[in-house]
Amino acid sequence: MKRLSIIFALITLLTISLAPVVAQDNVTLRIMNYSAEQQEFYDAAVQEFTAETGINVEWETLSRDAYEETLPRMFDDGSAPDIFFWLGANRVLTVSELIDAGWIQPLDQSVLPDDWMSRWDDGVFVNGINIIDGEVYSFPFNDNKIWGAGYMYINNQVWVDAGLGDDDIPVTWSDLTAVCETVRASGPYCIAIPLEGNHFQRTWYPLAGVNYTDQFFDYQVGRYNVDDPRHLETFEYIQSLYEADLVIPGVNGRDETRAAMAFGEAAIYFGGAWMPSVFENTYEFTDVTAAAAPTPDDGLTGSLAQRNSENKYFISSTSEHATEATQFIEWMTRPDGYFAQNFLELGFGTLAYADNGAYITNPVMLQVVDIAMNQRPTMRVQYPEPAVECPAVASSEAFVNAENIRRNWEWEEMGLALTTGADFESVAQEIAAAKNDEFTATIEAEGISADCFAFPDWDITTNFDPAMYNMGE
Amino acid sequence: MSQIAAETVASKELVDDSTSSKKPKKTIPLSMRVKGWDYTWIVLFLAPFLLLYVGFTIYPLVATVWYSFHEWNGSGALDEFIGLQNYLDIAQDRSFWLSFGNTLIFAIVNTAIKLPLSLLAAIILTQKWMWFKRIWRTVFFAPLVIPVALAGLVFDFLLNSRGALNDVLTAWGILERPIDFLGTPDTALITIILISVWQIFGQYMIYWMAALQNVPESLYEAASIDGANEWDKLWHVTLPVIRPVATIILFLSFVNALKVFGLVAATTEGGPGQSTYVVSYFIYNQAFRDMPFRYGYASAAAVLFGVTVLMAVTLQGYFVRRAQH
Repeated sequence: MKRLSIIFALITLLTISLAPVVAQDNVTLRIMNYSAEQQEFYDAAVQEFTAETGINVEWETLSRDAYEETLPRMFDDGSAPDIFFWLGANRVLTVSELIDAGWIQPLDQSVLPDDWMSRWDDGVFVNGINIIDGEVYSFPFNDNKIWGAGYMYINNQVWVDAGLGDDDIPVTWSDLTAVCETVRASGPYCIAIPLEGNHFQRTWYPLAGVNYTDQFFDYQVGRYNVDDPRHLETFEYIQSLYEADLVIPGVNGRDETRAAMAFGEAAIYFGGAWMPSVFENTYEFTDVTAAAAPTPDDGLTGSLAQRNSENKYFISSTSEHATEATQFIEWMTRPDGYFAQNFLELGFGTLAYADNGAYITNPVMLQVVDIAMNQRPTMRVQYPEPAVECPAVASSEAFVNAENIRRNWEWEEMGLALTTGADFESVAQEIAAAKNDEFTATIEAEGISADCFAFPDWDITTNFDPAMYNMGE
Repeated sequence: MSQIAAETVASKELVDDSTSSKKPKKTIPLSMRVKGWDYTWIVLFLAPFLLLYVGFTIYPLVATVWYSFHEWNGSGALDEFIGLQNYLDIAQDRSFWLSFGNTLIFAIVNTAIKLPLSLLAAIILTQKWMWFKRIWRTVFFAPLVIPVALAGLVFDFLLNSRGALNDVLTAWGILERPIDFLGTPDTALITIILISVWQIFGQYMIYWMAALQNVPESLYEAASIDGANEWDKLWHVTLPVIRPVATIILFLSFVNALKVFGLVAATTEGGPGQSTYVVSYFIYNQAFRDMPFRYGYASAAAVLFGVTVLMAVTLQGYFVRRAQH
């Protein structure tokens, strides 16, 4: 009995002494984002990671609105996940914003392979954008040549029911109006456009990007540009579609319009490269064709901005498992790893660090890839980054102050003009004037030259050549 | 309900006080009324409430005022003191004043529609001849238990340009073209007001019923003997007697309406344009929605708005006292 007691005591002591080691092995990482339709894939991915590393992972997804409201509160009460997804107000400067907010910490580079950065194209890790004081804070997740706004999706059934075929896919704005009239004559509306909040951007970007730019700031001349005649021309064209009763009327939300298109109430929805996945996973809708956005009748005269804007996953400042979180990021960003292969095969998007063409199997997603890479290779071009030209821009309040005059100003006024049929030009001039005044006043106060924001020698339909940076001189 | 009942009792007490206040009242000092362990018990019994009151009312109020003097995004150190700058910026912020105006319109129109209607319903439902009173009460009260988000969703479906209401109105030839009631600048705010009235109507009806049940039956009997008809009884008996409570209901209604948020968030998100932008939604957007968050700025807006509500509450006190005299 005495011997049994001694053995029991020894086992107890051993258990207590080993407890910290066991606890260390039982690290559970928490990851959050808002791609709820991809939850099943994340669950499978984290199982793979756990099997390989012994590190447990819980990957939680919420709806976007819920996520954007919940995450800040989680930082307030110290319950933020270890790794989180976030898009900043200025997506290029998301890292700076989140450092200012105290939300993030750098990746633990000691567990990253030396050649980790070579998984991406040259020039994507940039001081002031995703590297601050020599520390890497994030990495481009989605590729942004293919990934992004700018595509037109067609409900095949509605198209066929209207007597239209593959040859009728509109190439110009005049074509679009003509096919829309045909669709409308057959019953359904032609286009589903969301106007609630700032969701009008989903239609605006593709159509403005073929005429001029999707940005409300002109990086050729360095000014706010919603009053530019090319933007006004695009707006008037969209307004003409409303006036002709070709667009589902009223102020509808993003999900309502997507559903309306998927369920055959409209033939066309303009959206980003993520739509094939959203259609399939949210609405079980696959009878869809992706096409390039129709251009003005005189052809493609603009471009969408390809910016260093895909730094989306971060390690939270409150995480006590930065090393394990970095291990996960290293695993997630293996170009031929489980995550990349399955993410691409399932059609969830394109990745900045993988060979997208090699793994994508979703036929609609392949159409999207083909549009961006072959059919219209200049639909999205690299834009200059003022923060690279002049590092002081990274901490400038100029854009923020201009936006703070009235947030979502352009979207709200465009939505209003579309629902009322009112003239937008005078409002656009008011917006541009107010923002430019505030912008100029701020950079003057900050001692930043207006030249930092203007790249007059760059043609907006071509990739910006980094050799054109003057580096603040 | 209990708040109204309590305030009714309080108002009666105030009336009693006012009649007896003709004679100067002798105040007994606290030291004579409370002795020995009583102090300890008083403190012990008050402590939980005081703790909660300080923690959940006083502290947030003081903190909000303090934040409003800072440039702060809600996280990290509160170290950028900017004095009154947030207030100066808000004074020039058209969105804030527009939302302020919309909020006032919402509160005034909502109250102007809701109170007479709910009073009318309460009068009818307190009549002896009225059948199925309980069923009617339940019917009117039911919307109150529906979550605002769900109500918003339902009305969004009912009232959009492809919704059921438009189908009916166009089928009957009342409308030539469908109207997106929540998506048209001219109709959005009034539509939200009407949804709000539909939802809260039952609550105010119960308030009125509580007030009406406090009118002594003997007054009606006396009025009947004097030859008064139902209309005379309403104007000369019911309304004068319930006037003090009516004043309280009026201001409760107004102050509650000033806090409108959920319906706007669930239906229009402040749009189209800024047609339904209200102060609470403005504050929410600045503090929690649009990056970078402007917690300090939102706090300043909240303080300004809070002062307005406080003024309304103070006015309430003034009018209640007047009504009681």
